[in-house]
Amino acid sequence: MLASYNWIKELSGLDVSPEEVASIFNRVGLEVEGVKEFGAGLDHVVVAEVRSMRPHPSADKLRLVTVFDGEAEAEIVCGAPNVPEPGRKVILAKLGAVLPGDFRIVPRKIRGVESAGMLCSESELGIGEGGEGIFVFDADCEVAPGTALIDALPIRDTIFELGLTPNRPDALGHLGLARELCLALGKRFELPAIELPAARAERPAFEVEIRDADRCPRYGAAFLLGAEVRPSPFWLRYRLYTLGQRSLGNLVDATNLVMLEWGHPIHGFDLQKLEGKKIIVRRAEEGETLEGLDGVERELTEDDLLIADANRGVAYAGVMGGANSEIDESTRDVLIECAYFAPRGVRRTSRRLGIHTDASHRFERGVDPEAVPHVLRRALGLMHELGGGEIVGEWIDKIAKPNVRARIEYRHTRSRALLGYEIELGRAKAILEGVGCAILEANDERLFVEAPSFRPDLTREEDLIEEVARIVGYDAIPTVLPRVRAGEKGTPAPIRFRKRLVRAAAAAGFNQTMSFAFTSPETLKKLRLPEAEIAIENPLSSAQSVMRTSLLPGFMEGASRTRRHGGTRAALFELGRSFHRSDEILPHEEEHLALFLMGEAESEFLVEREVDFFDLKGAIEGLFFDVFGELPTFESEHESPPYMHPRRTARVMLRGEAIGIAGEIHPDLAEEYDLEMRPLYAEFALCSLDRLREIIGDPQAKPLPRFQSSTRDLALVVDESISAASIVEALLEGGAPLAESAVLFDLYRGEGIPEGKKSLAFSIVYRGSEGTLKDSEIDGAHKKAAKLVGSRFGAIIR
Amino acid sequence: MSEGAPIETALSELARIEAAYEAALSGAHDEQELRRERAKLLGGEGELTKLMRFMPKIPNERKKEFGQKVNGLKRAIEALFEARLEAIEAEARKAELEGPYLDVTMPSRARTPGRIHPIARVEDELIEIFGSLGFELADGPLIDTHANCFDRLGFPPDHPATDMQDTFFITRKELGAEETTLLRTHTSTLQIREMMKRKPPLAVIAPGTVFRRDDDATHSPMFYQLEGFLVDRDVSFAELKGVLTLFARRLFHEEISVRFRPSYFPFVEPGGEVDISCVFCKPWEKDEARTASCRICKGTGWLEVLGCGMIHPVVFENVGYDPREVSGFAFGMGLDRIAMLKYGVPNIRLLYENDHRFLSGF
Ligand SMILES: [Zn+2]
Repeated sequence: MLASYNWIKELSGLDVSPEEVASIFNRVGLEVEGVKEFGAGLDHVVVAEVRSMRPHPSADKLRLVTVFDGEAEAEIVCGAPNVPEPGRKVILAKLGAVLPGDFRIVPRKIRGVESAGMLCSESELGIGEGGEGIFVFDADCEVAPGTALIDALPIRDTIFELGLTPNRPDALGHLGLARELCLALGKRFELPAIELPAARAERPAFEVEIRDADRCPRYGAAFLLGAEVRPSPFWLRYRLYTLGQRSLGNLVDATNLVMLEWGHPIHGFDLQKLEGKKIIVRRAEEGETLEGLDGVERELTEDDLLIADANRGVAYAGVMGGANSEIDESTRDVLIECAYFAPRGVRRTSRRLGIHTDASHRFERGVDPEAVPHVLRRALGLMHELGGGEIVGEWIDKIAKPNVRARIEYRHTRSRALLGYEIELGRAKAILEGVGCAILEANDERLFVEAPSFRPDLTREEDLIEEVARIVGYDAIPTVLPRVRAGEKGTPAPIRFRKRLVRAAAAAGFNQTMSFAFTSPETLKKLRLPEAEIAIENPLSSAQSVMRTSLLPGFMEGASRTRRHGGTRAALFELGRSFHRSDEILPHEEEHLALFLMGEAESEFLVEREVDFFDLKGAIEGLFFDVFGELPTFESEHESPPYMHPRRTARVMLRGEAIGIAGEIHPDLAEEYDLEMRPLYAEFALCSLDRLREIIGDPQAKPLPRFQSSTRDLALVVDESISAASIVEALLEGGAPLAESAVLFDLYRGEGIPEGKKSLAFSIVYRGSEGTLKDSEIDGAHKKAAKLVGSRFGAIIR
Repeated sequence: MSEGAPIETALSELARIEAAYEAALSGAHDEQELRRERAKLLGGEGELTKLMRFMPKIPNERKKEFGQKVNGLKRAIEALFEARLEAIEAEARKAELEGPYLDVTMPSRARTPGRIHPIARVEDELIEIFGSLGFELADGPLIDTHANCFDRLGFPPDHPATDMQDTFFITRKELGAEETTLLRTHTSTLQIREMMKRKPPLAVIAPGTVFRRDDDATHSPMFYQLEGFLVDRDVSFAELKGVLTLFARRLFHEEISVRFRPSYFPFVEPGGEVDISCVFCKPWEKDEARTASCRICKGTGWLEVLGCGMIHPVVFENVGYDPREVSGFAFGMGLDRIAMLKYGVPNIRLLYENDHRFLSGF
C-alpha cells in the first residue's frame, strides 16, 4: 500500500515530519518498507506566462515561444502541439534546472535557434504521466509568473510504501492511517465532515435485490445524474499518480480516490447501461460468463458472487466491474455501488479467476460494513464536484444482514500476566478509545468494550491487549529471562543420534550438504532410481515436480556443477529424507545417511591417484567406529541396485544387520553426468542405524590381555573368487581358541601364480589366556589354521 | 692362506688384521659404512671369524695363546666399533640439529576432515544457546496436513494470511475425503505436533527445512527455519523478549541492540517482529558513516531476523490445552538468513547447490 504523507497530515490535522510519521508507523506495526520523495529537486523551474509565439525559421514542427518568467522575457524553442494563447501560463525549466533522469537544462541551439530553457510536460517534470504536450495552467489560475513550481502546484510529497499485515484492512485507506497516527500520538481523531450540495434530482425508479445475504450483507447504491466525463484536475491526477494509480477520467478517478481515502472500494456503473432498472446480487450460474473491465471474458461457478442487472451479470462482486456497464466518455448518469462483500467469498472468486485488484485486496481483508453511507456520501460529493450533474438525495442502502460488533472484555490482571508489564487501566482505556472502541463498562479491574466495525481483527481479549501493548510500545515491556521447567524426557535420543552421525561423517572427511527434497521424474529415471510416488500438485517447474526417492540426485548435480567449474574433488554427505507412498494420510519419509566421494585422493603425499572403493570403505569404517565403537563388515553385493556398479558394490553389515550399501556408481551414470571420473556412493538407512543405536549402547570396558602374543605369517594361493574376509574367518576358526586376529598384508597376481588365482599373505596373531604360548603350541594352532583354509578353499599353502 | 704352517700363517694374518682394523673402522663415515667394516672383520664370513676356523689345525699347546690373541683382537675391534659408532651418531645428531631446516611447507599426509553445512553450524549454535536455557529439540515430517500447517494454527479459511506463505500441495492419490497434504511452509507445525503429543511445561526448539512457492534472487523454494516455543503457567511477553535478546547477543555480539515491533501472524497475539543491530556496519561501534552507506541494512542500522509472539489462545484450544490455564510464546527464524549474515554468504542458492568447493569453506 502506498500512502501519501500530505494526505495523512491533512486528514489527521497533525503537523509531524515525514520521518516521524515513518518511525511511528514502524513502531505501531505498520511497517514502512520504503520512502519516496516526490517533487524534490525542481529548482529553477517556474511558472511562466506565454507572451507571443512565432514559427521556427527552419523547422515546421517547432515554434519559438516568448515567455515571461516574472523577471524577464525569454524565447524558448518548443515542439509541443499545445502551446496556449498569450496570457496563459505554462511551466518553464530555466537554464540550470535539473529535471528527473539527470536531465540538465543548458543553453543550446535547436535547429539553429538558441533556446533559453524548456517548456515542460508532466512526465518531463516527473509529476505525472503526461498526456499530450506541455503542462498548461487553467485559464482562471491566478498564480504569478516567476513562482517556483513547487509553490505553484502541490507536488511536494513523501510517499510511504507500507508492508501491511493482512489483519489490518483499516490501514488500507488514508483515513485509517490518519487515525493510527492520532492514536499513536494520543491525539483525538475525527472523521472529516462531508459537505454535500442540496440534492435536486428525484431518485429514478431503481431496485436492489440481495439474494445471498451471507455473501453480501449490505449493498448501497447512490445516483448522480447528468454529470460530465472529463479529464481530472491536476491535484487529483497527481495524487493518483503518486499513489501508483492511473488517471481514467474524473468519475472513475473519484471512485479510486474515495477508495484510497476510506479503504472501501466502490464501483461506478453507467446507469443507462444497466438493464431492467435493477441490481441483483446473486450467485453466478455454473458456466455463466462475464467480460471484465480488462476485456477478458471469464467463466464463473456457482460459488462466485455476481452483481447482475435484470438480465445479465455486470460485475464480479468485490473483484472487478464488467465491460458491459463501465463508465465511458459518453456516460452521464452514474450508479455508485458501495457494498460489504464477505471476505472469504471474494477471496475464493479472486483466486479462482486469477485476478487480484485493489478492490479484492480490501474486501478479502474485510472492509467496514458500517461505512457504507459515509462512503457513498463522500463519493457523491466528489463526483459532483468533479463532473457536475445533479445529486439524487435519496440513495439505496440495503441491509440484508446487520453487522454485529464484537464485545470484548479487557482485564487488567490478564494484560499484566500476558505482557509481564503493568499498564494502568486508565491508559488502556484511553488507547482503546483511540482505537475506536466504545467503552461499555469500566471499573477498577476491567473494561468491557465494543470493537469498531472497521477493525474486524479485534475479537478477543488478547487482541485488545496487543492494541494496548503496541501503542504503549513493545520497548516499554521489560526484558526478563524465564525460568524454564525442564521437560521429562529432554531431547529425544534419535535426534541427538543424528547430530552425532553428522559430526562423525564430517570427521570422516565429508562435507555436509542439504539438497532440495524435490526433483524431476526425468532425473530419477536417468539415475535408474525408483519412480516418484509423491508428486507436487503445483510445482514451480517440472524440475521440482516430484519428491525424491533417493539422495543421489543432489550429489550428482552438485558433482556435475563442481566438475563444470573445474573442481577435481568432491567428498559430500547428506542426512536427508526420501519420500514414499504409505497407507497413512502422510507419506512415508525415509531417512538416509548418504556419502559421495569422487576425484583425487588426498591421503597419500605426492601421489596422484583417483579415489576408489577402499577409500570409501575406510571412511565408512571410520565413521561407524566413531559412532558405534565397532567396525562394519563388507560383503560383496550381487544384487546391487541399477545405479550401482554390478561388480563393485558391497553390502555393509554391522552386528549381523545389513545397514546399507557402498560402492562405485554405475559408470554409465557417471558418463551421463560428464563426470569423467568414477564416483563412489554409499547409503545407509537410519531405521537400521536407529536399531543398532538401541542395541549397542555404551561401550563396555574389556580386560586388557595379560600375556604376550606371537605372530605367524601364512601365504597361500587361492581362486580369485575367494574373498579375503572368508579366509580370515577360516583362519580364526582353524586357529581357535588361540588365534586372536588375522590381517591380510599382501596380495600378488602374475608371474608364478596361475591364471585365475591370487596369492594372499596373512599375518595371524596368537595369544593364550593362561600364559605366554610356547612355540609348539603356536605351531600347532597355525598348522590347524592352514589346514582348514586348505581344505575349505583348496588353497595351496606356500 | 696356505695349508702349510698353519700357526705361522694364522699369526701373520692376525697381525695383518690388527694392523689394519683401526684405519678401516676409523675411515668409516657413517653408521652403515662402520657396520660394513665391522662385518668384514667379525661377520659370519669376516676375516677374524674365518681365522677362528683355523683353531682345529693349531697345535694344542698353542691353542690357548692363539685363542687369547684372537679374542683380544675381537674385543679391541668391538671396543673401537662402539666408540666409533657413538662418535658417528653424535656427529649425525649434530649435523641434524645444526643442518638445513625441514621444509615444513610441503603438503601433509593428513586427511582433511569434512565441514558441517553453514546452516547446520548455525543450528548447532542455536541448539546450544537455547539448550542452555532448557529448550529441547523436536523434529517432524516435511510433508504435513493442511490442518497442522494452517488450520490448527488459527489461519482462518480463505484468508489472505495464507498468502504470506505460498504453499506447495501434494497431489492427492485419488479424489476423495482424504485430508489435504502439503510441504510444510514453516516449522510451526511442530508447535501443533508437540503440544498434541505432550502436556505443559514445554520448551522446545524445532529446526528443519520448509518450503514455499517462491524462487527468485532472494528466495529459495526450500529453506531452513527454526521454531521455538515455551508453554507453561504465566508465561509473559517480557520473557519472550528476554529469551530473544539473549539469543541475539550470544549468537552475534554482546553489544547488539534488539528491537521488537508489532506484527501479525495468525498463531500469535500479541505478535511481533524482531530487528537486531546490523551485524555488518555494527552500529554499536558508532561509525555513522559506515552505517549510512551499509548496503546490507540499507542504512537503517537494523536487520529483521525473526517473528514472534504470545501463542494465540485459539492454538491452545485446538491442541486441547486450556488457555486460561497456560500461556506461552513462540518464535521462528530463517536459519539461511542467519547463516548468510554470520558467514557472509552472498547468495542463498549456494546453500543448496551441493558444490564441494563452496562447502569446503566452512
Ligand atoms: Zn548495516
